[in-house]
Amino acid sequence: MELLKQILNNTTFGIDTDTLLIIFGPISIVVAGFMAYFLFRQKMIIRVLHRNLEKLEQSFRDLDEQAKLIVRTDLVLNKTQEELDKRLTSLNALHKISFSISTTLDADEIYHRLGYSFARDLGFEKSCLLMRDPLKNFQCQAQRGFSKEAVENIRESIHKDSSFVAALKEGKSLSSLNCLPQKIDKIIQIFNTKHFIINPIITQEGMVGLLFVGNHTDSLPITQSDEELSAILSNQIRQSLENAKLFEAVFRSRKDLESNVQERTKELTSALDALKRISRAKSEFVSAVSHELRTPLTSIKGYASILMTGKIGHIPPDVKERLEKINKHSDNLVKFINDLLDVARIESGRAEMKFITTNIIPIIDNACDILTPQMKEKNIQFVMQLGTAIPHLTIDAIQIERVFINLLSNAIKFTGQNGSITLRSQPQPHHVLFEISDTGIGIGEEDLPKLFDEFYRVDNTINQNLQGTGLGLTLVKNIIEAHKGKIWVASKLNQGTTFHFTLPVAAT
Amino acid sequence: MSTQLGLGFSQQPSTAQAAREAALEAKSQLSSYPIDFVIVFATAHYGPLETLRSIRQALGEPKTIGCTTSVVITGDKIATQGIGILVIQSSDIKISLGSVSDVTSAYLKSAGSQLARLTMKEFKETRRNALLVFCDEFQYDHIHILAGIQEIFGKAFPITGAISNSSLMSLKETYQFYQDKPLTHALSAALIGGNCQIGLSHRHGFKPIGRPRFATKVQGATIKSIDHKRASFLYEEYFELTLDDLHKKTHSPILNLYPLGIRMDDDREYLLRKVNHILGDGSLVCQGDVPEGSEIHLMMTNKDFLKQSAMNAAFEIKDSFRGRAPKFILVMASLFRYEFLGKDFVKEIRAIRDILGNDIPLIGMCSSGEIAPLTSKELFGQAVLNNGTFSIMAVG
Repeated sequence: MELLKQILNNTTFGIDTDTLLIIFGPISIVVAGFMAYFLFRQKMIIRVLHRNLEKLEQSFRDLDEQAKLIVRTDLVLNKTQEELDKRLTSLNALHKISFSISTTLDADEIYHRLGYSFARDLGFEKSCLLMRDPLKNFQCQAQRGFSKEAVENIRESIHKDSSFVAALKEGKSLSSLNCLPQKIDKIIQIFNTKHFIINPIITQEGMVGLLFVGNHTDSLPITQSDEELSAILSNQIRQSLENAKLFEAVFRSRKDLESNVQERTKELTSALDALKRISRAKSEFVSAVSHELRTPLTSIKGYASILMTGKIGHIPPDVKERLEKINKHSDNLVKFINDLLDVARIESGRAEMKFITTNIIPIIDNACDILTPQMKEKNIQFVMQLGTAIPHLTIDAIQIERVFINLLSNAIKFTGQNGSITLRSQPQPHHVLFEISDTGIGIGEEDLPKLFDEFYRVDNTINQNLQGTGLGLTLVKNIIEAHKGKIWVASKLNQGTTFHFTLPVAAT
Repeated sequence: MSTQLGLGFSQQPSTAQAAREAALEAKSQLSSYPIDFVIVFATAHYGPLETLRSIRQALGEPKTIGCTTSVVITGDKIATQGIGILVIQSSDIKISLGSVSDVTSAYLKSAGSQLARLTMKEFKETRRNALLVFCDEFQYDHIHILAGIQEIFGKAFPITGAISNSSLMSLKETYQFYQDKPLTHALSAALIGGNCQIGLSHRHGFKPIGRPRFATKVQGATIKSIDHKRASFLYEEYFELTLDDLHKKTHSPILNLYPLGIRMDDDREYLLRKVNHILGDGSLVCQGDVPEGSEIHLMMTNKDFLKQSAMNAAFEIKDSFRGRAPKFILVMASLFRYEFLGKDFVKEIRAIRDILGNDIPLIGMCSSGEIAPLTSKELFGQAVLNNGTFSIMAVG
């Protein structure tokens, strides 16, 4: 206050000190108070700002921590994504390579398709497919990233020191991930590649080759999935090579078989031609001989008949008896020769069938009428079960009547007293099936296949006592086949026989 | 007044065959000649000199520009081996070419200026619409080239372009095509103008993550320190890795997947900077300059963000054309996108074609860096060098 008074005293305002004190005293107090308040407030603001700055700093620190977490997670995700992409690309490439090599069955083509790019597509810088030749030496079939000299060095190195090949022979794969350091160094030395996988290619014949893939760049180390890919690929190569080999074997065997079949076919064709020639010669011979025989036979039979009439002179009974035998045997011989001629004609295609479309019932009736006396003689019951609606057939009436007569007379011949014979017919859409069954002695199974052969006669007691030419059924078969029909037989010894044959229905 | 276009592509194994086949395919789509201009993109499988000579021989020596790339885009075809060609015959579009070869890091800016002057020579009074430029991959400070060009054309002039590359084949040389010359360590450019409209847009689809950081010490494209710590600390901290770990090749994808984003003033847009490598002292060497003191973020993305960003760029082009269809589309997409999206990269191309028109000829390439105006809403925004983007130039 004293100081203030002194200051006020020194001023020259002309106002006394007390008055000034009264005026400025309170003002000074108020100003000082304001200043103190202002300073206090500033301090408070600074304190708040400090607190906020600290909070901001803390937020930045938190933000940074979160950012670190995000970028690290992002980095892992990117790496995973990259690996996934690589894996997908590799799998896709593997699928393409596998498809490509499995669609050929030629070993050279398999190597060609593997070519240069398979390793690149799978994401490897270097590759080498070494396959063993017949002398068991390794030959490079596909490679990438090696010069010719390098491949030659690899071959020589393996030849000199095959210790790691021994491990491969056991089916183990070798890689920079799973090998002992010493072995790794040796393989690196041979292939000049830091990161590698070697897979054996083992077939049933043992180890036939090896597949090497690898990267020399440090940023491309081998992974477990690379090992799996390489193993799958080497297995696929093995399978494709085995398939190619199998195919080659099958191909060769097929070629041999084809050649054998061709040879046999040639032989058979030539035998068949020979048979045809013989058959034709036989038919011609039979035909010629029959003609030559029939002329003198007619004379013999004619002269015998004249003698028997007694017009030339009296015939003593024993001579007459002999003449009758001559006549009878002549008749048999004429019939035999006629049959032979018919067989020969039909076989050679010289017999001219006179086809007409007609009702078959009168033809059957006529054949039955001829044979009724013989049936009555043996008291055979003859049953005819002809369908009411047998369509008209296009046939040679005379030849078909011969068929019925032949088959019915055979049935009568081999059916005992009081037996029965049945004639049935069954119209079918395109043909009519006829069946002639008897209750006779039947035919043995062994005789059935030969029954229609020329001159074949079943060896039984009836045939032994009765004469026959063995041409009847051959003739029947030839006639039916000339009508585009079929004939077959079913029989059981002592139970009877049934002949089936078909005749085509006339075209409407 | 008309414009005719033809698109050709070939994957024949021999250079001469592939170049000729692609050229003739493109030529067959035109009904009149001569051909005025050709854009060529070829992978490193093909000899560049033979490629250019065969193409120009088949097409009658038209103005030719282009570059080598790891991925050629023609229509829906995305190929890591092939030659893609777009031929243009137009009385509306005027094009003037220029090139500067033997460009060294000592005079990048003056090379940019020289290139700009050369392209302007033929133009005189004709209206200039945009500059298309191709640079070599192995010149890290491309930003200086851009500065040189902008010195002549002005900062607002629309510039687009790409850094040619051959990364997928791990080659150490890229080529910039100029007429019949395949140049290396060079620049080639086409000044496009005349009676045509040009739409430029680019998007990257990366999002910032974590707290903002500041580039506290920078030398050109090398960030020495971030928040006063060694720059590599950003990656060490986020990924729990040591500096030695980051030098290992197994961790190199981190630098591709998580680039740096530089926040631009008054804009929510971020300029991407791919970190090419990390120096022994922990400095980050970026593909393009980083301003000292700039706010930077670690950036990340996913497939959906990338696809959406490409679509946004296409929508922006479509809006700028106000219902009219562009005559052709040039796409320059970061190689990172091709590698990150894998098989889905084609979906990105299909998506933009669905937006802009499937019948519009589209040619493109994958680049190591893209030059395009940053503020794409205003088509005359300042061009910058970006990484990881999907950049579209539509000419209508």
